[in-house]
Amino acid sequence: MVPLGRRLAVYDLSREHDPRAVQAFVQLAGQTVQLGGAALHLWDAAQRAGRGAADLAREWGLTDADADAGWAELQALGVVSELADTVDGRRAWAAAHTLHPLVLGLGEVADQPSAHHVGLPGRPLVQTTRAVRDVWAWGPLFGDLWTSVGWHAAGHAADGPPDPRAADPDLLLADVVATLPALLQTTAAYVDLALPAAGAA
Amino acid sequence: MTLLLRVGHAMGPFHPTVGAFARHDVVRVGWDTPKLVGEVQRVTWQLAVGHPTEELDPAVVEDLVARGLLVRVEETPEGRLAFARGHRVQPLGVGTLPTDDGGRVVGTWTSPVAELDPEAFDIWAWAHLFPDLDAAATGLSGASAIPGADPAAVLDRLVHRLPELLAAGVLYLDVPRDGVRPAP
Repeated sequence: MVPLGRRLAVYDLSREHDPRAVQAFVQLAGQTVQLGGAALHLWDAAQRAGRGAADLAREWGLTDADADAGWAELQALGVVSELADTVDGRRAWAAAHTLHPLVLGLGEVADQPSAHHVGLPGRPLVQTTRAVRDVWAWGPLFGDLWTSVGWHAAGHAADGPPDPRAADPDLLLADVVATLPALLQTTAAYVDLALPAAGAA
Repeated sequence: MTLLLRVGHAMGPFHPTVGAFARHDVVRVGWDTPKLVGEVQRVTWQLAVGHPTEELDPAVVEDLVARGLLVRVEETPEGRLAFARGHRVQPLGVGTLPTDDGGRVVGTWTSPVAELDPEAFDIWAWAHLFPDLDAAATGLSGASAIPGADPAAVLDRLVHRLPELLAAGVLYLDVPRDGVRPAP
């Protein structure tokens, strides 16, 4: 379960920090979507824990009924998407979404030349492969993630060895999807809907 | 007066081998990845978030401007428009809980990096949805906390606020997206 959109603001409307009283505004496909407290906590928990989101949200004070209502709200608003972690599932999901960086590239990990950090200055948040870092960084230039992955894989294939995973679009996409939880957890990236006209925008 | 602004999304240093000093820093500008070679270029690029100071080496500035890593913005309506038609913004960070006095905080949950007033917040939140800054000024005119219904006045405010937003690290400048992808 992948949360969609970029969080713009969060407001705690209670004096007792009741999670149900929180409201948030998320930007999705250029529009503002308002989330109630239960939906926000589940959306946020999904960023941190994927399928364990409901359990995490309960730890934050939501009841089972809150969680059910929150999921229903998220699905009705279209701010979560199901990603089936299979070749076809990943392709379909990537063709319907875009990936956007929210932090800086920090370059190569000092003692691992094929690994890169992304994060804040002096504060690495996520370690990725060079190929995944490129898909993350070039995200805003593409209308959908599958087109982006295909373009990057073709570039790696043209360069020849040494990274066969980067040159195969399905393997590269699998690596992007495997890194996605860390990117979302640390708010190093967000996922949005694909642009109406897929491809380069 | 002329503003000098850095362009591009920082990608960090490139080390040619394990343990070697960084050969250069990489920046993504549109489809390209121009390099900042050496400390002087890197620092010049990082410091370019407002009116240029005397410490900046004119030859280095000229080189970075020529390679699209820096842009000069003449603070006239024509200068702002020329800049705006050749550039766009991309936001960094997410919004978090506001401050007690109504400031809007942007960053990550663990590292809030900037407190924005409503005008700066609207630039951060919305300007990237337009293909360039000229279109952003038109689109945000009368529809945001940026005062004025005249796109030229809104562009004036937008350009005026860019240095602090760049310095705070909550957005970066890029070039408009090209409809034609280069060969990978």
